[in-house]
Amino acid sequence: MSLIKLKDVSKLYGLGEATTVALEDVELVIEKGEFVAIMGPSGSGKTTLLNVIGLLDRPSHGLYQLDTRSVERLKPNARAKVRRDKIGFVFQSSNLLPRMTVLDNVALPLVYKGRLATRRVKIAEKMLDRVGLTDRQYFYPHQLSGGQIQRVAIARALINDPAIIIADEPTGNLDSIASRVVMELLRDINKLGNTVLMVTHNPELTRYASRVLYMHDGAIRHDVQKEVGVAATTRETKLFAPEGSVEDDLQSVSAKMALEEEKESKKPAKKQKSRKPKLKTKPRKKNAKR
Amino acid sequence: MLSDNLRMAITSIRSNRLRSFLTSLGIIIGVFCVVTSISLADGVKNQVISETSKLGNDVLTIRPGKPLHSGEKGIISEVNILGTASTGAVLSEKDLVIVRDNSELREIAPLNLVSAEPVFSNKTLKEAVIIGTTPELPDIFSQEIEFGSFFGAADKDRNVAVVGAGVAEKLFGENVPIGQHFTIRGQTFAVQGVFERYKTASVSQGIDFNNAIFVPYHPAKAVNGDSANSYEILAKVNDVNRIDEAETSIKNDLLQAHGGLEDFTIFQSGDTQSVTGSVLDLITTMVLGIAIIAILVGGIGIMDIMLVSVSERTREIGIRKAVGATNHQIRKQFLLEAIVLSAWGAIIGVIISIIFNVVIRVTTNLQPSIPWPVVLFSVVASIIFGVIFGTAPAVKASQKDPIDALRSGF
Repeated sequence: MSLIKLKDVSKLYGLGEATTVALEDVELVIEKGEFVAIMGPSGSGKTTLLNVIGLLDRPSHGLYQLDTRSVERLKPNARAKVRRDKIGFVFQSSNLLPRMTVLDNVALPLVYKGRLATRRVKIAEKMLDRVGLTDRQYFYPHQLSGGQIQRVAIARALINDPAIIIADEPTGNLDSIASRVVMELLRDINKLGNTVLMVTHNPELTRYASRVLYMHDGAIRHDVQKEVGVAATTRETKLFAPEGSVEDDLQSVSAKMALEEEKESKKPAKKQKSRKPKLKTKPRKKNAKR
Repeated sequence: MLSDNLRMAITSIRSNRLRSFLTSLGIIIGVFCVVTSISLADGVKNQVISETSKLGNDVLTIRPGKPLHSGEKGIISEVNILGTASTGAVLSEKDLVIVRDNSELREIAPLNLVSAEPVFSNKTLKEAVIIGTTPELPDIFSQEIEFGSFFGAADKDRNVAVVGAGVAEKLFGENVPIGQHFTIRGQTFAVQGVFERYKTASVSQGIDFNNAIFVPYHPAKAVNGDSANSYEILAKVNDVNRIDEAETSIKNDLLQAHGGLEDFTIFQSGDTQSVTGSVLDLITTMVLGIAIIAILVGGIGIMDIMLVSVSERTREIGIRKAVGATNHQIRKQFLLEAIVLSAWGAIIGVIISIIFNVVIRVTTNLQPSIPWPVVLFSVVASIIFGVIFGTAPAVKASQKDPIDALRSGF
């Protein structure tokens, strides 16, 4: 019994000649307890796939079974309820509501579930304890570091004990140390049974995943089951890097360098590689800041 | 859930105080206008009624000019604000004689204004009003003399005066200035009595009787350059049940004397109330209309700024939807925010209005009274406007696509 089952899922935008295919006949089965990393260049449909799986978006065609229930034709309100109970989101940035304390942010999904305030606080405190931020519960998001914000977001994602945690580049704005803390947190959560789906540009981070999907032009081109603890071979990343943009060039360079460095020694390579995606994503995300 | 939504609404209103204040400003001003205008009109009306009721229901008041023209059913069809000034209408000495000779009347007292300022030991009291009248005045007026006595028939040619409590204090600097002498246009008058203080300041008459100096008819006429036009003639009828007949009789007499021109007005004391009341009602209705438009505009202001704020808070809506808020829950949250804003605005408006009332009471002689039913009405009306105008932004917020909403930054 699989947790997520996508059959011939397509997502089209626009009409007539201007139609863009964001997802094309995606077939995907994800079992409970997997840690899936999704890689691929910008515009390859990674985020669209996450949105469809996360029930933020409806597929144009195809079938989607979540926990044996068909969810592709659900109405917005019903989808909101499934999101609330089964899915936890961690975004790249601006995860938290800026006017609320950390505790209130974590407890937010419970508000929409109709839980009483006292109960909410109790559960939210437990979740904050899980991510190790109990001492920050009355802080506001602007008083936290980027890594702490992501950990709070993970606590919020966990609060309804969801079947799936969906993380869209959770470490995209973080330095290597904070990235590691966040990734290890996700790995621990995964170990306790939550399925994790993560989009990343950083090949190094695939070491936490049990399975890596490479996407290109709206389709899954490679689906690799691998051992946890080892980064996916960078050959694929290199292979599926699109041509043209500066960003992609950087990625190819980083992949190439990673290959060379990997031959020499493993330790220094890790350090350098983990910085590169940050360098790469910086110019793109700068304007998305508050 | 409602209390949680309320808490969230208050949090987000608090988080941007200036914007929240500006959003509610229209409602604040509207409610302030409604409550203040009605409290002023009510207060003034009560003052007029309490004052005119002093006259008793057997008193007719005759005034020059015809400031109000009543159409059918006694509805005022025309208001001549300039009154006597534009028409040149006067009540002459001859008119006074006609009124006095009317058999329906028992006592009459003219109020003749003397244009002069009293001087007492080189001090002038500018706000004092000098009125020439007859000894019957206190009877008709039912106002007690506190010290001394009013002038009687024997004093009719003597230069004596009875002063209001305000004059005693301000001109003479003492409560009982009996026996003091002062001058009006060079002629010396002696104070022989002091009226007790009027409870309510005179509003309808335009004269503050606390600041009045009453002198006998003939000396007043002499001082005033031998002119004795009356500002007002008060007349008490023989039989209160025949007051309408008395009014008609005087009216006919005066019409005859004025060659058929009705350039005077006769009020029964009830009329004075109803006329003043209906003028004030007219003004109140008008101001109320304007104020309701102001509240309406305030409501539209809430809608405007809420719509902008929905666009600004797109990311917030996206996150809320991602963590499981249904459209209904988002709509409720934003609607509640609009309601809280308008209710808050209404309450602030009422508070400012109450403060304004106190200031008016302290600084002027008007006595506005807070009309609590109107306060309740305007708060409820504001909340209803909040619901009406909060709906559009709330619906807009609830229908945002979560993906688009998440794509935008804070």
